[in-house]
Formats: sequence, structure tokens, C-alpha cells
Amino acid sequence: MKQANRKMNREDAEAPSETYMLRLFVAGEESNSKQARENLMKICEAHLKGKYKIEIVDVLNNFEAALESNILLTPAVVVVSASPPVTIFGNLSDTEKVLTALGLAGGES
Amino acid sequence: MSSKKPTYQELKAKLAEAEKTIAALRREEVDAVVGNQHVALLRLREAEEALIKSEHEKTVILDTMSEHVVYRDTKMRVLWANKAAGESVGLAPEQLVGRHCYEIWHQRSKACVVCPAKETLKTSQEEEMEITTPDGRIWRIRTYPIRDANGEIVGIANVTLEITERKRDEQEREQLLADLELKNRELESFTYTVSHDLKGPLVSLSGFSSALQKELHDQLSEQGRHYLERIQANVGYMDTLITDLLELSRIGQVVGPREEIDTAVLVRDIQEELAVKLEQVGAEFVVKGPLPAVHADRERIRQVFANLIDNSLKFRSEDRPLRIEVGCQKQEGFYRFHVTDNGIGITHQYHEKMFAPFQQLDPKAEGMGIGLALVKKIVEHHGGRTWVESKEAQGASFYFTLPTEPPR
Repeated sequence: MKQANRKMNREDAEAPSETYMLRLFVAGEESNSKQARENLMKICEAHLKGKYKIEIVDVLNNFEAALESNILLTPAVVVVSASPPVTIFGNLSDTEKVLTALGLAGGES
Repeated sequence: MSSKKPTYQELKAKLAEAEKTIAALRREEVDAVVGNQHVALLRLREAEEALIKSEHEKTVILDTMSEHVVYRDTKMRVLWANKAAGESVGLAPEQLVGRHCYEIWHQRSKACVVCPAKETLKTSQEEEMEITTPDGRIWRIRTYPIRDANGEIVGIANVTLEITERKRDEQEREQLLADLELKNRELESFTYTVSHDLKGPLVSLSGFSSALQKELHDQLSEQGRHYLERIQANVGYMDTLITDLLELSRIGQVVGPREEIDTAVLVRDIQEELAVKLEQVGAEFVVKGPLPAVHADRERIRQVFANLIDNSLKFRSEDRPLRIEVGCQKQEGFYRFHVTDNGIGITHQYHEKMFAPFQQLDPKAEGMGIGLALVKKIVEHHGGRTWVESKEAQGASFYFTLPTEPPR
């Protein structure tokens, strides 16, 4: 609780009222895609509550969208709101890495 | 912006992205590759898991075998071994991998001179060999070539089974059979000797009782003469008994020369010999169909027919005129002869028993009951068999077979 508060404070200081725009590319219900979806929801709920928007693109229905974003592998999540946009590949099971990519890694370590 | 020459920063970002892509692939966290036209699903883990599962299943199956299963490369180095192969040298299968088979199992530094695997490499075929190890155990080794997709031999699989016990059992059985045959021969020669030796005293018994009758007949009382008759009758009975016994014991020793004999002629001769007797009882004698030529001991086969026909005469029914039929049917590799009558027949319970020596089923009938035992023995010596089909009071059919081809 204390930790979360501190993070929030830090984010508030650096980027006030920032909304994270995330675009997740998945391949239907394939296992890694499913995991990526669940993991992303969990991480966002835990760390970005109320400050994120996720758009899910299923490449099996719409592969042009993936090509437009230069996404060649799924699952992949693009942080559209970052500049430049950051892409994370894989099923997002490594929470620490996802947080780093989102610029949310704590300064504890 | 990016259509121009990429900046150092952009290149670095691209490289980082590529690295992340490769890392995700390595972690098998990728589901699909997006191409220009379509999306290809990658089911890496599934394929790998299926492979691991089937590998595991095969290992479990091969580990349950008591045979040693070893897969070697063409240089005789173990690539894979099952549990039994490992246990044979007190090691885990993995500990055998990479070592030469001759070093593991034969403590040699060079390949064995005689080796089925070497043969398989030479012949490109499955090979089988039996070897005896210095500890006296016997093994059967089968080797199989393993080929790649191009048909090149890449290794040799072998399945090895210890057959020491099986071999020993086989040898024991052979030994037992040989012993049994020897015992049988001994017994036959014993029977022959004994019956031959019994003949001597019997001859004097017969001679002296004849002399007694001739020379001292008048001095004997009525009762004395009766006793003498009984003695002579029993001497005669015993003589027949010993003659039959002698005959039976001879079959094993005296197998006459085999020759081509025409059974039609043989049967006709017997019929002529018995003509008077046949006429006496008003019997009809029928030869049904042609009778073949066989390769056999003429005198013995004559005995077979004579005995069977004689039997029909002996066991005729009082209720109807006797009819005897002799015939033959060709079967797979055999001629099946039959002698059929319409006599008194035989109850089922005696069908087996009656071929044993001295089984006189009808105490009133003449003879000692050696006839069928003789028939059986002669036929068996010629490689055939005998049996009877009969219903009581309805006649009997005696069958025997003889091979169509002379034995090699």
C-alpha cells in the first residue's frame, strides 16, 4: 500500500493526468495471446487503475492493423501514448519487464 | 521522418526491438507471425510437447522389455539404451550413451571380431546371432539397420535376449527323448530276450508232457490224465502268448526293407488265403474302389490287413451274414485305409484300450488280443496312425493311414 502510494506520487509528479493508451495484438484464443490479455489487465488494474485504455486487435481478423503498426509477431502490446511508442513482445508474464517498458519501474532496486 | 536515412537512435531502437522479438521467440511466448498476406500460427510448445510425450511413452514401453534394446551409431557408439541394457552392466541407460558397445559389454578396446551389428553394416539387413559369453550365458542378438530419410544407414538397433535357460531346456528335452528312445529299445530287447529264453523251458515242458502222455498214458488214473491235458493246454496257451510277445517286441527291431507294394494284390492274396473260412461263415468280401501302391514293408503290411480282416471274422454277428469291406481314400499326404464290417461292434469305452497288447475284450474269442497292438505298432513304424469307429451291435470300421511318399 505504501509502495503503491509512493509510485503514484512519483508518476503524478512526472506526468500528471497521463492516460496510457495500449494496443494489444493477439492471435485469437491461442494460449500466449490469452495469457497476454489476462496479464495486461492484471498489471493495468494494479498499477494504472483508471489511467489506461486498452484496444485489442485480433490479427486473425485484422492483420492489416498489425502490419500498419509494424507488428510481425503476436502477442505484442504497443504503448501508443509513449513517444516513441514502445512495443513489448510475449505473453507479458514478466510483470517487472512490462512495468519497465511502461516507465513504471520502481526505484527500489 | 523515417523515410529518410534512419538516425543512430532509430537504428538502436530497431535493434532493441529485434532482440526483444528473438527473446520472445526463445521463451516460446509467440502465437503467430503476421505476414503480408496472412497470419501463420506457430504452435511451438504443442509440437514440442507432443514430441516429448511420444518420446516418453516410447521410453516407458522399451523400459518394460526384458530384452536389451540398444541403438548405436555406425561407429558402435551407444546413442540410446533401454533400462534392461543399462541394468545388464549395473548402470543407468544414460551412462552408456557415447561409449562403445564393445567396451561396455565385452571390456574390449576394439570392436569384436564376430558382431551382428558389423554384419548388419556389411549386409544392410537384419541379422541374428547366438553368442555365449565367458560366464556361460547364451544370448540371441538381433540387429536392424536404421536409415535416414535418404535411405542411408545412420545406426544399428539391436534387441538382445538371454536364452540360456531356453537352450538348457531344449538340450534337456533332447536328452530326455534320446534317453527314452534308448530305454524303449532296451525294453524291446529285454522282452525279446525274456520271451526267447522262456521258449526253452516251454519246449521241454511240452516235450516231457507229450512223452508222459505217450509212454505212461495207461498207468495214469482218469484224474491224472485230466491234469495232463490241463498242463498241455496251458503249455499251448503259454506258447502262443510268448510267440505273440516275441512278435510284438520284434517290430521295433525288425523293420524289413521298404518296397513298392500293391495293396490291391496284397488284399486279394489274403482273401484267397481266407477263402475257405469266408465261405464257411457265408461272408461277403468287398474291395471298394482301387487300392493304391505304397512304400512299405510287405510282410508287415500284410499282417496289418490280415489281422484286421481276421478280427472281422472273429467278431461277426449271429444275427446277419458277415460283410467285410476294404477300401482306401487319398488324403493330404496320406492314404487312409479302412476295414469295415457289420459285426458285433465295440462299445465306445474300448476304442482306445483295444489297441493295447493283451486286451482281450471278449473272453470267449480266440487269440491273445495281440493283433491290434501289432497293427498299431506296424502302422506307427510306417509313419501312420490307427483308430476305430464303431457302435455296439452295428459293426466296426478300423482305419489306418500310410504316407503317400516314402520317408526321406
